[in-house]
Amino acid sequence: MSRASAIASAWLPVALFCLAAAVSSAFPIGGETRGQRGEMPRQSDRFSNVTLYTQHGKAVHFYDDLVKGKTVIINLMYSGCGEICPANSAELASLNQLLGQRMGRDVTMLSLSIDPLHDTPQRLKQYWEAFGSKPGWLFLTGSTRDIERLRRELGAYDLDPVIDADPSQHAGYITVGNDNTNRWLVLPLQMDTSQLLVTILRTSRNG
Amino acid sequence: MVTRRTILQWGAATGAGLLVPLAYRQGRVLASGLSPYTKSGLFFGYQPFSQPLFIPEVLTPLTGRSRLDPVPGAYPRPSGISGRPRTPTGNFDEVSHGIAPEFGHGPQEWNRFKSGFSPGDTHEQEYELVTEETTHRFVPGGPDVPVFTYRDASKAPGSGSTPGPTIVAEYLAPVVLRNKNALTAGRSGVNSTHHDVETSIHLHGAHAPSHSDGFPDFYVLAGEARDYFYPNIAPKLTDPDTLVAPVRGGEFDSTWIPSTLWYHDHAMDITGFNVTRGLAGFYLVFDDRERELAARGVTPEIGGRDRFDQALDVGLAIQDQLFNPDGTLLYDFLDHNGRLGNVFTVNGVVQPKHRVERRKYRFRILNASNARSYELRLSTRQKMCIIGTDSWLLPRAIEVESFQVGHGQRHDVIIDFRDAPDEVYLENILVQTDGRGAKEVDPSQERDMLLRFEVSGANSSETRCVDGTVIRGFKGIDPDGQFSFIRKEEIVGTRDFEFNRSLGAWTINNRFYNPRRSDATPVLGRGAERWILENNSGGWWHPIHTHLEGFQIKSVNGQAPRRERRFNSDLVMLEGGFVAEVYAKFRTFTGPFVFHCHAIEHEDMRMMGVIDPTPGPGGSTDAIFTHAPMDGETALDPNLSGVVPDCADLEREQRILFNKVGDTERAADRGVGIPDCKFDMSERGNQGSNP
Ligand SMILES: [Cu+2]
Repeated sequence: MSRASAIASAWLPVALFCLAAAVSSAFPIGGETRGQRGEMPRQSDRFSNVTLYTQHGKAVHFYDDLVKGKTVIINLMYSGCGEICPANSAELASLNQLLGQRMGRDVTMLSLSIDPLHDTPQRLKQYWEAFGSKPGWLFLTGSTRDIERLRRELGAYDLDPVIDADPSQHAGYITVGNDNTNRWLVLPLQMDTSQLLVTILRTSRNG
Repeated sequence: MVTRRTILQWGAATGAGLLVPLAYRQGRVLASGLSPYTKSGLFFGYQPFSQPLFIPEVLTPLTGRSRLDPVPGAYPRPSGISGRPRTPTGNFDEVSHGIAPEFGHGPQEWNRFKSGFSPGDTHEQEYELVTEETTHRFVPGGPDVPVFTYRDASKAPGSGSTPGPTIVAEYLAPVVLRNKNALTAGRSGVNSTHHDVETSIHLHGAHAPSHSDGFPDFYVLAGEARDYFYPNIAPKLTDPDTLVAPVRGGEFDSTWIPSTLWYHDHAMDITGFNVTRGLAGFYLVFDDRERELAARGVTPEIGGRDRFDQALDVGLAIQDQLFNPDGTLLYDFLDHNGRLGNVFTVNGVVQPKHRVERRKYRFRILNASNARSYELRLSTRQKMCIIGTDSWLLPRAIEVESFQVGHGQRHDVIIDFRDAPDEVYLENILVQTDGRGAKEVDPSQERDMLLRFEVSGANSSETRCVDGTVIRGFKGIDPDGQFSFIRKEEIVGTRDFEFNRSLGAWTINNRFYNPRRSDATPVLGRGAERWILENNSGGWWHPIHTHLEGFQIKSVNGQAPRRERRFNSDLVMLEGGFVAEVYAKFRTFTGPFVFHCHAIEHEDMRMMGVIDPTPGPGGSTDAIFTHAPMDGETALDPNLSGVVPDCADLEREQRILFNKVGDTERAADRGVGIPDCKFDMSERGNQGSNP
């Protein structure tokens, strides 16, 4: 290979990657609070501030009202889901119980319906009541388009389109995030309850 | 129920997903033109192969007055050296995470230099590293990027590098590495994350005590210190009649003398972030055979007993990186698939050049990437002479035109440039476009150029490393041969592990990692086990790694693996649908240790299991199975495993009360792990206020 062609071919990937980077991997920088070199962009910078509706019928903005400055436990569910969602909602209910008075104060649970056409606020309220009307636990619905956008921003998709099209495949884990410390992680809900709890508490720490 | 219409709608949305531009919150707009790439596609204007390769310094051992103070194991503790570590105090010098009980209790023969390794040394070689944030330039003239580094504690703060300093150790010469974690939320040094970051150092390939192995929640907490004890031993040989390996006494198993190790972060839930940010380095072990190979001219000469010539023996850590528009490192915590980079770095710099002469060099090639595998070759198609895979030297050298190096794997190769043209590229021909796994080898592709060797000088006439050149040699065949295969007759049982994907997460035998549960409890030092590792997760690739001991790969999909992978490995690449059969022994140290997928985002999502070798009965295999069932799981034995015994004990003795925010974290964060405590806040009051 000649020197010239070696260099040309070596440049090529970077040029190709440039497109990929613009589409898939750019965090927005700048805006009101950040943009200083050296500050890490926030994971929540990629969340849309879409309008959602709680099980109590209240309109809320996803970022401003639910995530900003908080520690959240987010899961995807839908009330018509056969076996997976009820088992996982039961696990969330027991975590809620264990977290006690921290719920709503230090930690919030956000259960996002990925079947918003059927999951009206009323229906989600029945679901919430079925799992004990626990405090600090919001069930959320919204427009199909907004929910789909959030699902992708939360990384809750499968690279295999067939699996991705099966909503039950997105209901197996929780996304735990602390917007103050910008620390986020994903945990399978079928993990040991104590382990889930300890990790949630570690993530919820301030500073 | 979900209607067909809903599913169709989902399918349609999925197909269009990649084309939908990312939407941002109101008021947050991506500034136009802000990108790390110039119009011509260059990364901050960097012309590939115009900056030199970075070679990390060799870490200097502490001698004389600079030796560790307090001395290892002698710092204040509630009940002496074997006592439990204290509740973290935030004082580095307390070494609150302690040292392995095996330190000081290890048998004499663990130290071949009983009379002293170097003047003044009576026992161990000592080192000290500080984990801290500093800035790093990936390209000349590019931005100063915050990274995490392991810094030589005797050097100025901020002077650390990525990769970290290379640690050069001697076989059977123990090392104590004190590590201080300065990644605090404002209590020490710079930390642009503004929160406490837990760390845990795993010495990948080492045969070391559990306390020192970087078990995921045996943390080094921010503001705390831990003494890592590395005996640098091989396991003891197994008696051919009784199949028992003595914990003390007997000969070392020369098959497993360590050679090319690397140390990297392994902290539970945050390993991907920490490793991406730079927490990795080389750890090389030399022994008499290494010196003999150099004397024979098979490997380049090494200078002195405990030194090596970095000009001729070069570590190459390959990592693909992702950047934000401002040039800082991009880490998407919610990318479950695996972080696939789009900029190639070697030893922390983008596409470097490296000057070499027309002679032979040794390269320790490490794939330090989170989710990418490589098939590496030279642009000249010249053969490379592999002398070691993963942590161990091969019995005999194997020449190949290309080799696959999965994430976490190492290949120790001799490249002889005597007939090389002026420029030779190290290139990757494995095509991978997402975190799932590689697609195919494309020998025609010339895209992934990692490194340019700039060759000069006259040909030197040296001994060649060729296919079949004796390295460790086969025991009983080659003169002074050291390598033996684990024999079928030594197998006392078979375990099956199925690696799967379920509901958006990765499972091992349908379970997720729990640091307090043992998923494999072999009888310590008894025979060998046959593990069947099966990947049923569709197209996902899972590189499976075991701690404490490596294994020998007997078959992959019923066939012999690639030639260079038939000996010792600590990592087997399970491509989609692959089944591997490996033989392993579990000797010397009781657990807990982990085995796991080395795709780090999978690991962080708990695709791990626990190995806890425990002393057990001799005699029949029935007795062994009763003691340690092959298909079952057992609770970790706290007395053997160094786990705090019970929750009441924690509350009483350690004054950790689960009644206010922060206390449970302290319990979990003590760095020795906690048992399965009842954390019911409603029962325990939970009256504390939010700090
Ligand atoms: Cu994996």
